[in-house]
Amino acid sequence: MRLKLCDILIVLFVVCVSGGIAFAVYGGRHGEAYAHINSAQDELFYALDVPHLVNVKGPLGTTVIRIADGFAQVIDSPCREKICVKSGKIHSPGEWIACLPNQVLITIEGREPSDVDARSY
Amino acid sequence: MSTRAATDRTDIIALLAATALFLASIEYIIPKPLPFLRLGIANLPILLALYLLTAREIMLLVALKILTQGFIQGTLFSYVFLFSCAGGVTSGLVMIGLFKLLKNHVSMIGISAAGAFTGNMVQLLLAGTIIWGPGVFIIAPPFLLIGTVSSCILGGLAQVFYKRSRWVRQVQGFLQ
Repeated sequence: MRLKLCDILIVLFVVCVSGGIAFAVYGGRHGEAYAHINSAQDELFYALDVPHLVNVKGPLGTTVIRIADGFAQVIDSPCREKICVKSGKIHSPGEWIACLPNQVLITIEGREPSDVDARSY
Repeated sequence: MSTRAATDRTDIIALLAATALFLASIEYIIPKPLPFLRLGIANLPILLALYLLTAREIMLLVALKILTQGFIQGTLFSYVFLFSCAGGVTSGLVMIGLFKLLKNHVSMIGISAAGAFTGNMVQLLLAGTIIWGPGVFIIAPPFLLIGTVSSCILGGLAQVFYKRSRWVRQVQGFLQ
């Protein structure tokens, strides 16, 4: 088996675009980490050091997210596979928990919430 | 004679679709380190089909693969299935297009990498557009990384299989 020229070009292209996205997402962070909760209806921001129990409504029901001691975690979800609950605790910028069935996405971001409107990715 | 040939082609599509169904089941029972990550082994028959079938037949195979994969994963009647459809159809079209365009200048490795990348990007863009907004790209890097690595390996496997398989030679004999 021999690599052809276009194989190398295609893989190079894919790696460059993926690397660019990774850099845009992970690079250049500053400030306190906070949890960004994205649901079908809402966009919410929580500091990680203040304890909160957040109920988020999705198409299947309520996803319960606990924020405490610098971590965010899904503790209950109406979805079937409970991948989001099994994902455990997240705390550092770039980490995420997603529940596709109930349309909830939790990401840890490293900028102040006030900067978010200006993000470029 | 022509009916017999038509049956042969249908048989090949059915056999490849059945292989995709089998591989989708194998994929389903492999534990995943991160949610939603796929190895994409069910795409192996589609890569082989590029050498064997016409564009329309390949798209039929892609449709069958998406359908059976949805069936295996239990997502067939949920909106998650829309994601599979969009990713599967676009990656199928891109793979066919590149294969026709680049012919001997590309192997299955490049085709497979391009297909995986297209499928992943389309699904991310779709998730970003209809559910979560542009913040969805924070989940993109692990998808794209694993997708690139596993699709290159799969492409290499497909290439070796294509070169060595007596079954492939036999099928090519039929289809002449």
